[in-house]
Formats: sequence, C-alpha cells, structure tokens
Amino acid sequence: MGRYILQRLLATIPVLLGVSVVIFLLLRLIPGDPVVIMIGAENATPEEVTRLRHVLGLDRGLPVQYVKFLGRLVTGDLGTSLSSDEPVRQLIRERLPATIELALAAVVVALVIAIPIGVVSAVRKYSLVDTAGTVAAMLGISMPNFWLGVMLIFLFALRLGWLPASGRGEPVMGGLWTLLTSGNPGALVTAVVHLVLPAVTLGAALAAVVTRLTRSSMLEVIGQDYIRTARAKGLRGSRVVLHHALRNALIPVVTVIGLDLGALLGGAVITETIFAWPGIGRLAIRSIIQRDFPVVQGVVLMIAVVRICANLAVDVIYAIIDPRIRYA
Amino acid sequence: MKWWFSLALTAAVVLTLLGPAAPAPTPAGTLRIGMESAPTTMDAGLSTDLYSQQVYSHVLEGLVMLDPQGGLRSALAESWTPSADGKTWTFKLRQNVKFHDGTEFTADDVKYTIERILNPETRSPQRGSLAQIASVEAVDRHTVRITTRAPFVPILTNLATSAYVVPRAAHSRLGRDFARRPVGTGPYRWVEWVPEERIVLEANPDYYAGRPSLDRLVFRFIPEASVRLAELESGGLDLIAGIPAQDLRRLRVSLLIDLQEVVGTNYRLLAFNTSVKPFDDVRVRQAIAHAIDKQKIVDVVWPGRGVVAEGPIPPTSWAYDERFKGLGYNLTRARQLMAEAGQGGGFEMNYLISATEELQREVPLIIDMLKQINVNVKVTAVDFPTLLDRLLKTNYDTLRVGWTTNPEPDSLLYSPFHTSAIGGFNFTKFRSTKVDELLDRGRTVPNVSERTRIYREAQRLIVQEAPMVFIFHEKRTYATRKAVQGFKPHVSGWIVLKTPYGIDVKVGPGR
Repeated sequence: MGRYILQRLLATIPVLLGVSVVIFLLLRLIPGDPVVIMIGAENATPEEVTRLRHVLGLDRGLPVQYVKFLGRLVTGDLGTSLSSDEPVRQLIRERLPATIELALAAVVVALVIAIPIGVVSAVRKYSLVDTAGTVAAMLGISMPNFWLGVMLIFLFALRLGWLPASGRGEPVMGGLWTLLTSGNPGALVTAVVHLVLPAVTLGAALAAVVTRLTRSSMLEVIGQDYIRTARAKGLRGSRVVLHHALRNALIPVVTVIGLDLGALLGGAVITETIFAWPGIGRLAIRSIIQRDFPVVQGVVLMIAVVRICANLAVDVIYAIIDPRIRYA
Repeated sequence: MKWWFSLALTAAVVLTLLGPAAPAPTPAGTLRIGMESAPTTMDAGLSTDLYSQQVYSHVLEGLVMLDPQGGLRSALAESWTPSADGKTWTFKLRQNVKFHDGTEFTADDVKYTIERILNPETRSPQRGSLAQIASVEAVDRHTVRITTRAPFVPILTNLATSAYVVPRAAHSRLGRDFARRPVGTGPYRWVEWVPEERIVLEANPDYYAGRPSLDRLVFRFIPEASVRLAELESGGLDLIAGIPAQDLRRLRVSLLIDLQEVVGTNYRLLAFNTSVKPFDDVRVRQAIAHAIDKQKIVDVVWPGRGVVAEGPIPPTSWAYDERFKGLGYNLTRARQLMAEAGQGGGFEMNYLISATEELQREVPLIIDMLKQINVNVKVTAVDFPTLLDRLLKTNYDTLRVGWTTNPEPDSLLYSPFHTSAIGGFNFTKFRSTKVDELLDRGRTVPNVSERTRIYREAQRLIVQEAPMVFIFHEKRTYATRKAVQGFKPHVSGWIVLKTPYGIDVKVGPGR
C-alpha cells in the first residue's frame, strides 16, 4: 500500500508539469496586457507601459519566463502578484480554507440528504419517497446553481429573513474552537448560518447524483445471494440494509464524491461569486480579469494538486471499505 | 454509516434551516458599504483601481482633493499658488496634523510620497499621471514646492487622484505590510482586512477637521449586483453602488431605499480607425454619426442610466457647453454624405465590441440603424482585455468602448485626440494641428474661464471631424437606506463620507 501511494505520488510530477506548461502558455496566448490594465486607460502612455513591463520582467522571451517560473516553483515559490505585489502563496493560503470549508460542507449536505433518500428509495422501490426522490434528483441535476443560489437568497434572506444573503461571518473551525474553549456558541452559529445557503447551492447537484447512485447501487447489492443469506439467518432488516448492503453499495458513491470534491473546489467559483464567499474562486476571477498571470497560475496549479490528491484518497478509501481490494 | 448519525446531521441541518438566525446587532454609528469588487492593495502608490481607492481614500489624503462635482478642494495643503512661469507650485501645508500613529505630518512626507511614485523601481502605475513632475522640494516643515517640466495646470487634479500622502517613517518601517494596514492622516483609521470578505475602519478621534459622525465603516465585497441589492433591502448593508438596471424603476418608489445618481466624467463611443478605408473619409464618419439615433439607444438599452452625448465633455464637467449640439440623428443628411463620399451603395463594416449583456442588446439597434444607409454591420464580440489589446494596436475597423477619466478636461481629451498620443490611447489615429494646439494651450493656462473656452472649441473641432460617434454619458447610481443622511455621489465613483470642507455622512435612527 505504501509503495502504491509512493508510485502514484511520483506519477503526479509529469501531470503537474503538463498543467504548468498549458496554463502558462494559455494565459500568455490570450490577448490582454496586464500592465495596461494595471495602469488604467487614462495614464497608459507607451513609455510607461514599456517601462513597467520591463520592471515586471514581462518583456523577456516566453521560454525564459517559463524557466524562471518553474525554477521558483520547485522551491515552493509561486511568485508575486502583478497587481498587489504580494506573494501568491500568501494570497492563496488566506483564501483556501474558506473554499475547502464550503466544499466539505457541500459534501456533507449532499450525503445527509442523498444517502438516506437513496437507501429508502431502493428498499421501498416505487414508494412515495422513491418517486419524490427521483423528481427532486432530476430538479437538482437540471438546476443551474447560480439560479438556485439566487432563488435561495430571495426566499431565505429577503422574504423570510432567516439567513444572511452573503458573506462568511466566521470560520466554522474558529467558531467551534470558541465554543469549546469559552462555551460561547455565538461564533459557531454565525458561521453555520452563513454556510447553509452556499453549501446547499453547491451541494445540490452532487446530492442529486448521489441519490440516484445510492439507489441503483443498493438495488444491485440487495439482489445478491449474501443478502438473502443474511436475511435467512434471521438478522433484523435494518441491520441487513445498513450493515451488509449499504457498506458494499457505497463503493461507487465514494468514487463519485472523491472525484467531485476536486470539481467542487473548481466549481465553487460560481457559488463563491453569488454568495460573496471569500475563497480562491473570487481571487481567480479577479486575477483573470486583471491578467495577473502569477496568481492565476498559482490557483490553477493548486486546484490540480487538490484533484490529484482527492483521486488518490479515493483509491485508498476503497481498500478500507472493501478489504478485498488490494494494490500491487 | 450509522443511521442515528445521519439522522442527527439531518436534524441539525433542518433545525438550522427552521430557526431564525438572530441577526448580529449593528452599532448605531456603523455604515456598511457594499462594493462590487474586493480591493487589491491599500498602498495607494501601487494601485489605480477604483475599488482600492474607495477604501484607502478614507485613511489616506492628498494635498488636494476633488469634491463630488470634481472641483478642487483643500486637503493637506491649505493653499497653493503657481509661479509666474506656471511651472512651479508652492503648497502651504496644514499645521498640527498627525498621522494615525501619532507622528507629525510634514513637507518631508509629501516629498517621500511623490518621489517614491516617480522612482521606476517602485513599479507604480500612478507614475504616468505624475510624470510631468521634475522635482519636489520641502522648503520648510510646512511648505512644499513642486516643479513640472513644462507649465501643466492638470497636475493639481492628478495630485488629487494619484498622490495620497504616506508617512515616510511608518511606510519605510512597514514595507510590504503597509499595503495591508495603511497609516494616514484621514478621517478613519485602520482596523482589519479579512481578504475577499470585509475591511473595517474606525473614526479617527483626532482628525483635524473634527471627529467624523460615523464610528465605523464596514466595506463588504459582493460581486453579484442582485445579491448586493438583496443585502441592502434585507438590512445587511446601508450603501451600495452598481444597481441592476431592471430594479431601478422599483427602487425609485421604494419607501426604504434612496437612489442617488450623477453623470460620471465619461463618454461611451463608437470609434473609427481613421487610417483604413472607408473610415479615412470624414464624410463617411459623419454619415454614420448622423445615422445613429442616440436617444433610442439610451431609451432601449440604458433607460435611466445615461444621457445622450453631444460631444466628449459631459454635463458634470466645468467645461461643459450647454448650447453645443453635436451630429444629431438625421437620415437625409447621412444618405447625402454617403452619396458625396461615393459610398451610396454602402459597404460592410467590421464592428468590435466587448461581450457584455448591454452591448449585446445594443448591437441589433446599431445594425438596424446603419442598414438605413446601406452599411452592413458585422459584429465580433470579445472579452474586455482582448478589446483593449486590439484597441491599443489599432487592430480594428470600428469598435465600441467607453472612456472614463478624472474630471479634468485634459484627461477627457488629450490622450484620445492629441497627435502625440498616436500609438498610445489616440486609438483612432486622429490628427488635427488645431486640436493639438488647443489641447497644448489648455495645459498651460491657469485661468478656468479661458480653459473652458479652449476645451469647448477643441470639442467642436473634434465632433466635426468625427473620429468617434459620442453616444451617451453614463450615470453612476448609488442606493442607500433612508436612514443614511448627507451622502452625495461623486463624479469619479469615489465614496466621500467625511471631508474638511463640510461633508459628514450620518446614519439616523430607524435603519
């Protein structure tokens, strides 16, 4: 297992190199000059543009710029933002926790909604829960999340006034820490009420997929011999369903969630924009508009690393859920 | 998964959804401002972006400032006088002004600020607007002398927009950290910055023009216009900019919300590349200008958000000419000009726009209007940086763009129309010796009424030569909760809450 993980980690190096080349070239091939955007239209004389481009090293050849970028990358240095002159690593580090918090909350929302509905739909096929679940899943898959987000804000923030429309309030971990150390739940409540709408928005599509997947996977498992054997031994129905069937039915579900966790980090861009959630998606959008090359490169590489790690984690979790799976 | 675990989680989520969130109480003296984008830096020397300026302008101040109409006002300088040759300006500074860290504000800080921006190593994007400065001299503790390479009256406005004074001691000590916690002389001092989320400032009790009425400012960054508005309407914000067009009519009659608008110093235009056929012919350009019904464009695409432009100088500028009429909608004249130019049969026109929602709705109108003079419009839509790139390389036939500047007429006219700016922002390659002479003279004459005459004459000549069709001037609209008192929108989009010359915004009871 250890060796397998090591192999997988080594295999990520060429992937990351490829990602770095593609994003580096892509950014420089699209038109748009960061320096002109920085200076602003009224002041951008050709001399100023040339001068600033030189100071920032943007007048050197692409191969030279790439090699410099790569050289720094090896030492863990992602460079400096063109527009704010701050280290890219710091900009990402400050925003990544918010994005991870949102993505994890979306997964939790998806699981909490989807797995119970999926299980019940499979066990009580064609019941009211099954039909309602199917309809809801269809809605969840078809609804674009910017629309869902705006509708949730309209209903819960504007009409009912139950939840805040935007912003993060407090980090959940910070709120939890305050609760544990001082017994004051205020910060945690603030954190959770701000998190609910964005997490539901981001998690809705995943919840829909997982509901359908859990249902079909459960149906398949329930029809197998060992389940009949378990029932024949006189085990309680709930134990058969939850312990014997669900555990095996979860393997494809874990795959989907693992793969989606990476997608959630990238896909959080839209949700973050709607809810003014202070994550890396916002940074990415602003940097693309400003053509702030080092920041966009940093964010994209970071998302690539997270996706690779998520895929690896899925493979490892397989082995834990199903002890028969072994990697040579 | 244990069934009770998932049940507990479900219950927790459901309970949170059902239980009304206790809204955090907002102290009476706090103003919460919703911004369209997060700022990039609080180091004024390193940024020209409006969103950074909207925040740091409450912490830092310049020698002079611009009032909401764009007029010059005294800030850290009490008075200023030009020398006889018009090249040297002597500023008398306010005395007994302290930075937020307690150190005294002196002439040396002004010298440090400007010289730092001019130093190429600083990589300051503000350098261009101060590039006319040859030297800065601290004559004594409270007198600064600034000398320009040539007589250059617009330097005063440029000092207001681009030279926010930083304290030499604190700025050198903090280095890069200054951009995260600026120290200035302004009415508010720094509290905290949660990236992408909020910036908090608090009243400076020692402000030389008196403590501001607002105790705290909270800036929140909310990119979605509809969400910003929802926050304002649900009481989470007090002041927002950038109102969704479809909500304007509803908000005008709202009992909770006040709308305030101002025509910005800008013009929205259709530009011709005057170096390619057939747009090198002034008659063709005039014909197209006459064929465009500007009022209809404003009414259909920008209702309540624009006023028809007669020329480049907007009604809010001191150089505005209310009697001047540009090339108005006149199809007969347009067809006649096309025939005179030998283009009666028409031609195909490549038209470059940036792909925004409004412009996509404007395009069919333009296509339809120009069809009337047999011009067949072919549209290419790109993102804004791409458009800017092609504009600067004059790699287009015609395009649609906006020009937004500070309120100085020199900024409105010089770089788009002076021959020396060809290769830069004179992107139509417009050449006129007469216009050049006028624009050069406008920079050297200190007298405002004479400058007014000069810029009005330049505008008349430019409109006649029609390197661009000036379509409309865009309004800036702000919405506030009714309890907010004393807020006036600024022509440049700045947010001005407390000034030495009498603005002091308050939040009344009943928010």
